[in-house]
Amino acid sequence: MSYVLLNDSLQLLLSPFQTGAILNEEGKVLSLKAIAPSDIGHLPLIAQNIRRYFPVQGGDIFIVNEPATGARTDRLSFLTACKFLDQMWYVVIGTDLCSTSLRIPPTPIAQKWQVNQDLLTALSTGARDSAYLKATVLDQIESLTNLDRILQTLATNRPQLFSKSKQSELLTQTHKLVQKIFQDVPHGESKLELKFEGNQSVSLKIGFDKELMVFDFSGTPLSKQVGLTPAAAFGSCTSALTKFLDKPIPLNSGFFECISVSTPAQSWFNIKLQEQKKSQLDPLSDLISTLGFNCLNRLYRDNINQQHLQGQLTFKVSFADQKFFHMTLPSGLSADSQKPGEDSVSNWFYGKSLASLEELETNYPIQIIELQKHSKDSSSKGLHNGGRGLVFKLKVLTDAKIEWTSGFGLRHISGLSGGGVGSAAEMRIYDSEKETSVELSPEGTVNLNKDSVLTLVTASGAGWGKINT
Amino acid sequence: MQRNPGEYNLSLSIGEYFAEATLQIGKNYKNHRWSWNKSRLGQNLKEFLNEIPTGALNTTQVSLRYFESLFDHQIGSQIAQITTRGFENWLEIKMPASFEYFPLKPHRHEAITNPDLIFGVTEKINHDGEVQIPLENPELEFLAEKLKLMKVEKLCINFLHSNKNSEHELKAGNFFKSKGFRVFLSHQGENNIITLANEQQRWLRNIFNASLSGSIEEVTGEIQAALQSHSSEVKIGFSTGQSERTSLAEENYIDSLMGSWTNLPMKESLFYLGLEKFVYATNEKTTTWNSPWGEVLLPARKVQYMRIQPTLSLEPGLFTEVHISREELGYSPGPMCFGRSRRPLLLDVLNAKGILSQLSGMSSQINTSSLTRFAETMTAYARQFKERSVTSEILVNELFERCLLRLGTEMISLNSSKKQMTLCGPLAEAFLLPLKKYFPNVEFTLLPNSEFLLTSHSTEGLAK
Repeated sequence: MSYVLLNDSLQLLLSPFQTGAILNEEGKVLSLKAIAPSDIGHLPLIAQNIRRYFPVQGGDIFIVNEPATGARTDRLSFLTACKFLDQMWYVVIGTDLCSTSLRIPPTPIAQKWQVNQDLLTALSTGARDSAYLKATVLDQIESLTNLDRILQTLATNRPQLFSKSKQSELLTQTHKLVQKIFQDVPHGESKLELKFEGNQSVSLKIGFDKELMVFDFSGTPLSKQVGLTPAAAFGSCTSALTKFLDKPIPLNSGFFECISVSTPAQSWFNIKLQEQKKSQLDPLSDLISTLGFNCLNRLYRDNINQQHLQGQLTFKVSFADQKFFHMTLPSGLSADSQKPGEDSVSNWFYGKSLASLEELETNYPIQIIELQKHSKDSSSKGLHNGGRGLVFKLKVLTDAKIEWTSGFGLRHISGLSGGGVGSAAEMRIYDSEKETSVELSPEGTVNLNKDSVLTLVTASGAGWGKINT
Repeated sequence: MQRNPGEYNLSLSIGEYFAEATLQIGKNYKNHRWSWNKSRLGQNLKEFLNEIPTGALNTTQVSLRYFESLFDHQIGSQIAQITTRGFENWLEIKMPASFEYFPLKPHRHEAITNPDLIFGVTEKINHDGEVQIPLENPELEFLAEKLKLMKVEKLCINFLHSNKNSEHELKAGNFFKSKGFRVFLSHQGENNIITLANEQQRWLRNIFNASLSGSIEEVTGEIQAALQSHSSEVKIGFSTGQSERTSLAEENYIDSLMGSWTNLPMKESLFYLGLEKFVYATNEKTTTWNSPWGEVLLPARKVQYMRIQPTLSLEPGLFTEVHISREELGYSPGPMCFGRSRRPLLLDVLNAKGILSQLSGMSSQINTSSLTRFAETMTAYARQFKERSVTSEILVNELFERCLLRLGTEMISLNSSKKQMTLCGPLAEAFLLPLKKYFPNVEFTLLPNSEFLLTSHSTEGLAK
């Protein structure tokens, strides 16, 4: 049973990181912690791409946010190698970046755990918030150095736990476990199509091919508006399967090798760089993950349909003195067959905690007039009602600019099984005794005059089930 | 035993299930542990103190940690909140969402107070402390009538920027007090700390203080009544996250939550392996507690609850093994070995290894037939593993090894910059040798006489 102990240890070691993966010498994922579905596909890809072009030695640390490697521009990824027991272990982790506008190609920022300070200074000089970037890099390097120390200590004390045979046993046993679970579910084929954001559509077919569960997106058209990389699609499908199975199956190569995701070249699942559609990565991954879950449910269980999450309103308010703040306002959640939608809650993986209102008022020339749930009447009705969105009203005390980058998901969402339609997100500006509505396209900017009052309302969730009269 | 009055000092630590007491008699210490409940606390104390001559008790120091488990039972459901209008749901919206295994939907911990008892009033103080919108009495009068109809007795007043200017909170507070309500104000507390805290930290602190008031006063009353015959003037001091105090004002009730950890020796980082919690206590300080409801203003020693805990439940795992789950069940109802539950906990493994029965106060807790029932449960789990033939004894040994690995790995991770891991607490001694054996190159040491460290006097004894 020592492969179970290896699994326990690796999961514990990744626990302090927001997201990360530990890979062995052959590049097999031994353990992975994902904060977003797309991480499942992207983290191993980053390690693979950096190792393809750079010789990575023990104690080297690379940083990257260049999308061509599989990294995200809004997150700084780190790859390091730890050498012990004559083996090389690779660790890739990621941490969110708030405001840097830099594109960092794979850069060897440390060797033998020693930071190249000149390189770090040079890199951060070009960033919008250089002090923040530098601090983030140093903090993560310290965590990785610490992780190496822990791994070395564990390996010295329990060398047999980290042996190649135990790694291989962990992957084989995970593979066997997933196959056993697959055997217990009825085989068949399920197909679902979904239209969203007006004209966008996706087609998904799920079935088995020998030992593989196949997610096939054939029939999905190309799109100018939306797009996911194959790695993100793989992550979304794997997370759908994990949700469906509802068991803590270790996220490792043994599991991943049981899943095949087909992303035809003529579909929007085959974009090369997520950068072009970066604001869509998380909401789209979530949508595909939910679609995959529903498709699996149709195949194996009752038709318990889940509705994907509404888009949250992410925006930035900047002022003449270069000061700015970001904020993400949560929306209401859609109801499902089991329960009503929750009010104003951030999606668990891309919703950030809201800042203190007092701190916002102290640090920026604004007065916050209101921040609360939308009225009870605003929630969409059904056997189970949708969750309420949020109303945020603020007055700017100097000229300002608001930019929003919500991607999509701000429109009405139809209720399932006869449930009511969710209300859409709104933006209104009260300026010189006149209130005007601003159309919320996926991205946009509006200038605000001093003393304008900005009202933002996030979408409410759709209802579920028809009310019997 | 003839002693002079004033030579006896009592220290109490009241946890979720166990109460611990240390009686200092001159230079000697007498310790006792028992399972407590409100109705028997006084009686138990009287029995423990029966040797003390009348009027001889000098000081009594109490730390209360028991109420952490109460938070999950909506103890604040009868408390009304009055906030600045427009921000009634702010604490709920700001509450962190939780997740595990890619759930379809994020969800929050259940709110600590009743959302139907939150009311907004028209007022606003700006960030400089200037009154932007004055607070008017007619609105308060209407609200007071409404609250009376709803049979509300306690209320929290949580206004924005009240730490910059408390005028509105005081005005509303005086008004509601005059109407017979018990009022808690968010700006009250130690000035230097309150000034720096944001609205979430202050408002949550205020709500916790109000929610705990009934329970703390009840328990304190029980203790006072029990001590009356032993002390001419009963003065109870409370250990808090910062220090020991002579009294605990209502605006500081929540501070008592961290009092037990403050009682641990401060000289170094420690791993406290208790019967209720495994804790990593650093020698740093913090001003906030990351509660499931959000950040609460609570200055204390920085402690971290470990991922492995004694009351984690056990369940059949995916790999033909028994799994230590992430679900911490606490003592309601507790381990199988106490004869009150059918769900095995990690504590049951420790009992099967003969560890629990050696501890003070435990023999009376452990049900004699529980070992058989635990073994039967393990055998039932083993029967589910079709590919593997395994006995209950093997499963227990595997679980203990898993526990050692997780405990040791976590200790190494938390304390990686230091060579030495110092253990203390009731279970420390039992884990010391197995950990040394399992991690031969790590230096584990045991703080001597550390079974009763949560009571303040035992720490003093240790320091001596």
